[in-house]
Amino acid sequence: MLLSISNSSGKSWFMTGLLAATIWVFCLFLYESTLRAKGHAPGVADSQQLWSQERGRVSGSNAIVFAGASRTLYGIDLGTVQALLPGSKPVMLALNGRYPVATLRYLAEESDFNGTLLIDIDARGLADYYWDAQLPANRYFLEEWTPNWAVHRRILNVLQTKLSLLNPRLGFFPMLKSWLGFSPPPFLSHASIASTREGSLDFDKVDAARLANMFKAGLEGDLKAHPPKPPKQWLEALAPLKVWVSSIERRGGSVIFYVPPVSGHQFDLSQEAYPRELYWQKFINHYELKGWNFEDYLEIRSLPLPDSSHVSASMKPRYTALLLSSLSAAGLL
Amino acid sequence: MQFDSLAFVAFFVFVASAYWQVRSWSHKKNILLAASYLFYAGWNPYFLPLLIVTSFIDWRLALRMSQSSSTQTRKRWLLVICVVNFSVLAYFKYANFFIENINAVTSVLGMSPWSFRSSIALPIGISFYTFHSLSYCVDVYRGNIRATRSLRDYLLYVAFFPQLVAGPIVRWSMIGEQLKTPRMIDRDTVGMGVALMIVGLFQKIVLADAIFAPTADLYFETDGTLTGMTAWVAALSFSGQIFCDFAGYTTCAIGAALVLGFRLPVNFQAPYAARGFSDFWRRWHISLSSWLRDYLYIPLGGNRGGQLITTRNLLLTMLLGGLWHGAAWTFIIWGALHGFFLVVERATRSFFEPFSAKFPRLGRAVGWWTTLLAVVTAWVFFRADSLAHATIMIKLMYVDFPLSAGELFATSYEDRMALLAVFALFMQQLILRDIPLQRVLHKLPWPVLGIFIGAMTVLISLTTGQSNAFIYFQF
Repeated sequence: MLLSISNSSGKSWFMTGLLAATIWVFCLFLYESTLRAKGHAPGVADSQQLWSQERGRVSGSNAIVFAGASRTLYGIDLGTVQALLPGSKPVMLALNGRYPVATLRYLAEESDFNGTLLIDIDARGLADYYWDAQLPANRYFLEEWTPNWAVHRRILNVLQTKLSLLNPRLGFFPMLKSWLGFSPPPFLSHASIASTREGSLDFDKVDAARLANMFKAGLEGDLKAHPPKPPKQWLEALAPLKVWVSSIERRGGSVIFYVPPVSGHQFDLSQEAYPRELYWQKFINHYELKGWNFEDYLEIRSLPLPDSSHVSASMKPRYTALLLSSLSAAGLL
Repeated sequence: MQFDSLAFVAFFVFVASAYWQVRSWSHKKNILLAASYLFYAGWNPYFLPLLIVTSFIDWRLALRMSQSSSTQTRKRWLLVICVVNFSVLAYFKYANFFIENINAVTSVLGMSPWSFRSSIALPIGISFYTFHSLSYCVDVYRGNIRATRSLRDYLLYVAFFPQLVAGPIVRWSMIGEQLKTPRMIDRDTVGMGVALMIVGLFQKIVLADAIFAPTADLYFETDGTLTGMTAWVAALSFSGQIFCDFAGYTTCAIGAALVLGFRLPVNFQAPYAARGFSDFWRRWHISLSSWLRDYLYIPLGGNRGGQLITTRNLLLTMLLGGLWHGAAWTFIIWGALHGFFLVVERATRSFFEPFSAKFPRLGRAVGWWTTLLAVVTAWVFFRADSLAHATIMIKLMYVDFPLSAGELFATSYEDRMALLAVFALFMQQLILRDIPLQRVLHKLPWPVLGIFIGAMTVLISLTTGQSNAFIYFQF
């Protein structure tokens, strides 16, 4: 049965539309004003689509891909990379709170990629507990990312920089949950991200010491839940990584594993659970991989890390420059 | 392209503006055809040639068939058309499923497995556009319609973007005339079209994706920690999700077509208010159920051959209907269950009719409740990743019973939101059981409709989570 509608209903569609548009504009204005009054600012929100947008740029020999977690996402300054390595195409694929082994695996299968892959990962992140942490993003890219979503995400990037209400964290349903008392109100984030997925942390907005304690508690809990395996067992399980690295190298690409700086409890707990000589160094030496560790570089060791784990936005260019120059000096880049 | 993307909003504004601006009907159709192919390429440009080539072949073969006066020759042409279409569908959609099952049997017999595996993705909407084409060819064969000489009109019939990837399944008899004569567009059609698009987007973005999907996904992807209560929450949430997702899509499709002056068939009419399984299939995915009825059930003999033949025809039709949805045993079981429901309904009708006549209200209530319960239960097979998981959930739903009020209050905030929304959805369908959506929108005074549309648009704008693919795209 075909749709049937009556014509000449006498309904004033113009007035209907005008009223609907007025309600829409008024409510959104009110909502946006409320968010701004509470200190929320517009900004691009990270998502699998934004990640896929950047993942789609991974091709060629001039691509310098940064994979890892928050220390790379919020630590690498892509402008500095481009300035120091003219002609390069930096791509940020680090994902907050997720170790990047799955991304290495999928990039090994990406025949168009023969550039450089810098993987921020420590001995804990290499443990097989975390191999699938970035799997959903990689699967999304392969199975669901389409030209339609690429256009959608580009438009959304522009809109999100103008309106804070377009941040999913600040949308109607999270707010409703908070208004009804089922969750705390959305926190004022000290993290921001650009449409290129280059992130920054503004520690003036938060209590960095409290964050450091939270990270400490988080790491302690995680080490309890996922205790380190004996070094030999841990090392043997990493054989597939060598295969993936080799397949990128066979195409003319390069893979560098690097450990970004941490300090305080983060450093102590990591060292205690995964002593470098027994884990990280064994991994690099045994599989003959390119490895870089901040502990070997005094200047980088002395960089301020307000929350013991991340550099601040103002330190990003310096940290990036130091990282790249030391990688070059070591003959890795 | 997806209706719930900003890319579609930009695309549609551009296409509709260009379409309205152009005066020549022929040029308008050229714009629509180009836009339809762009729309399809928005998902995967590599499959666009498949759509164009299969459409062209069907058009050409149907034309050849129509030129023959010999029934035998026409039959042969129809056979060729069916072989071509079903081969494409079988390769892209069913090859892996078929081989997996062959291998399962050969491994039991100790034989070596067949190593072939198709790694090609499923072309989006292939089941829908194949059924479009097939219905046209069968109707030409039967002499119900005349084959069109216009290749452009035929290509547009198959690819018309509002209905291309997830229906409604349109027949030439419904749209052929609309393609021939210029479409009249006035304030009523555009206003109603835009209103339907907003209602459809509200169903998809706010109800399906934001309220139902998180709860349904959570429990359908959980193993081992489900209880009777959470299994029911999952089944009900998915019942809400599948309706709002699919009906949302087709409401958008009907609205978008209406903005361009085309009228598509209504695809849903309050299915959760059905009082019986045949009633359910007259209300759920109407364009598919009527397709199956006209091109499968009736040619098989329908209900003309006695109880046994009718039972066979019902079961076969619903089994194939299940398989149409996807190459998995879960879909086949879902189809088989609905076939079984229809058979039981048919067999017990004479027993219940006197009771219904004596106590009409009670009869209607029992009919509604039984149908709803069975439909919700069958959805578990449709959504579950495996038969084993579905069986566990069904067992929990019916064995870990009765549910206590304490359990209900122990559910999470998200569960309660989903239950509240699904309850509201059932009530809304019961109240508006026989009133089409467009009539509801039409009857509302403009201030009330303006408030409704405004509120829906606000909620759509404030629900910007990760977009989920429309469930029916995979079919």
